[in-house]
Amino acid sequence: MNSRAPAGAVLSREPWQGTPILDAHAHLGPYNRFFIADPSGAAMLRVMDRCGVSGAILSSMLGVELDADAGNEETAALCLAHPSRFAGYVVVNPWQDPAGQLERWRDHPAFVGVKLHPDLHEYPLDGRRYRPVWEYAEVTGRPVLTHTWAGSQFDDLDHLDRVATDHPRARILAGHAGVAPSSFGRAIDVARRHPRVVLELCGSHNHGRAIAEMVGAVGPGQVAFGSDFPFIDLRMSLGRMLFAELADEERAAVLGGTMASVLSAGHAGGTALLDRFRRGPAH
Amino acid sequence: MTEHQRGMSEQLRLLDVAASLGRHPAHEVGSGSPAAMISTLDRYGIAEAVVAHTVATHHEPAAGNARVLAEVADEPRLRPCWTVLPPTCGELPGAAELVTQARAGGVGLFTVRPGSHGFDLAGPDTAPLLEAAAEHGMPILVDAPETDWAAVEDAAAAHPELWLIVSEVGYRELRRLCGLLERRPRILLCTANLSGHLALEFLVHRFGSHRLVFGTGQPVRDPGEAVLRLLWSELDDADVRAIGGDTMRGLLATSRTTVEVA
Repeated sequence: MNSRAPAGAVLSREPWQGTPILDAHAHLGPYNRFFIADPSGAAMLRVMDRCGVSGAILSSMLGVELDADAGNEETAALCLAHPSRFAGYVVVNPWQDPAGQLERWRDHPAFVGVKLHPDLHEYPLDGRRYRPVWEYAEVTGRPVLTHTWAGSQFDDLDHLDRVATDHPRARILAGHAGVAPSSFGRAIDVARRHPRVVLELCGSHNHGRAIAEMVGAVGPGQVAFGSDFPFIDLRMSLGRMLFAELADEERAAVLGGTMASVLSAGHAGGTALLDRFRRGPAH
Repeated sequence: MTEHQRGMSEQLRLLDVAASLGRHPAHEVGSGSPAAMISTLDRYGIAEAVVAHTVATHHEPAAGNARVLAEVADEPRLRPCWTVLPPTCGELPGAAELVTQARAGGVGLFTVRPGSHGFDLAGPDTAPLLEAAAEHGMPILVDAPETDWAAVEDAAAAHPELWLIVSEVGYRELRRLCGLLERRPRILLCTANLSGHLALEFLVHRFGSHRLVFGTGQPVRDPGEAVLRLLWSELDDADVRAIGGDTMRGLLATSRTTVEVA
């Protein structure tokens, strides 16, 4: 176990120069329920550069909270403008033609996976309207990032367990890993049962202690850094990760290696993002 | 390390105003001993901390306040914070005497937990306590989830000389917060779980760095959140030093008549 903390490097205020970082859970744009100081793609890039983050995989908040079609267009535009920094998740809203959304964006170079938000869309993760998503994930190898929230009637960890059981070839990123510290044990159990389930770390209640426990329980290959920015500031989640008591190779995997492997397994998409990631932090 | 980096490291001495000793009933925080706290401060590059005690916050304020004085007595990097109550039931000394005893014990910060401890931040019950704190320049820290914004505003309006530090604001509150900060110049924000995207930069630009003080919320919160958020912010070094500790040291060290924070 490496207990060396980067306090000195952080206190120097210089961006991260270590192993490259991929943010597996990002968004774009404003959100109706609260004010975000600057949710633009330009501001996101600025924060990434400030912190030394190589790339982020994002979904538009417009797509998540209102209009999947318009939001996916917004995601595509940003990713095409900065293909080495951003790649997109296609937002699939179960009430807005799921199969049509997948078909429309299937071969678009901006997209590398699918984003589901069962809580906001008030539809269960294991409901039949999501079937095209799981078929898509199993055929293409592309990941599905789903919001998970322990106790939710729509995306509790039991829902996750069921879809992972029914679709064993699907790569599923469990967004927030259930979010509550009391749920992390159940998230670990699900990941242990399903080797293609990856625990994603963003949320308001995570801690370096819990991250180390997750990595110890399921291995760094099933844990991925995400921030939820610009919903939450990227530095909240990154701070937990950089100081967590992890071995160097574990930290490297969680910060980006795991997500790079997930993306590499999918068919096409994200090439420039992965190229930059593999060249390292100097690029 | 560049000259700038060396200069920054030497001048910046982070002071955590939102930390706690003691065990915790609902989080795996270990023993909560002073030694463990010092070890954590070292790991995260934090110079010193103002600490409450969970015996006070989660059991009995009088006993916990005595406990925190005893536990920090031999540790110069830890300063005591007392958990206080309105004087209605006589659990603690009367407000003026409480502040006097606190000052004598080296206590520079009070914290209140209205939600958990069953009282109202604003109103006649708590007024004597807030009045005494204001009169003696004793800042009071309250976690946002322990109260509501109307009570914060009412308390600040009724006690305009009181330094009221609001912590654990989260990322959803800026629409409520900005008007409050505009109207009440002695409300400060603690950076513990101040988590909105670019909110720190926005607030400093809008209200000035003197309205924010560094805190982590440890050990329940991961100190890495607040440390990275401040140090890797887009703020200049002077603002980072002010938030990181300079402003709060002024509040901790001086009486009301000599404090100049604004």
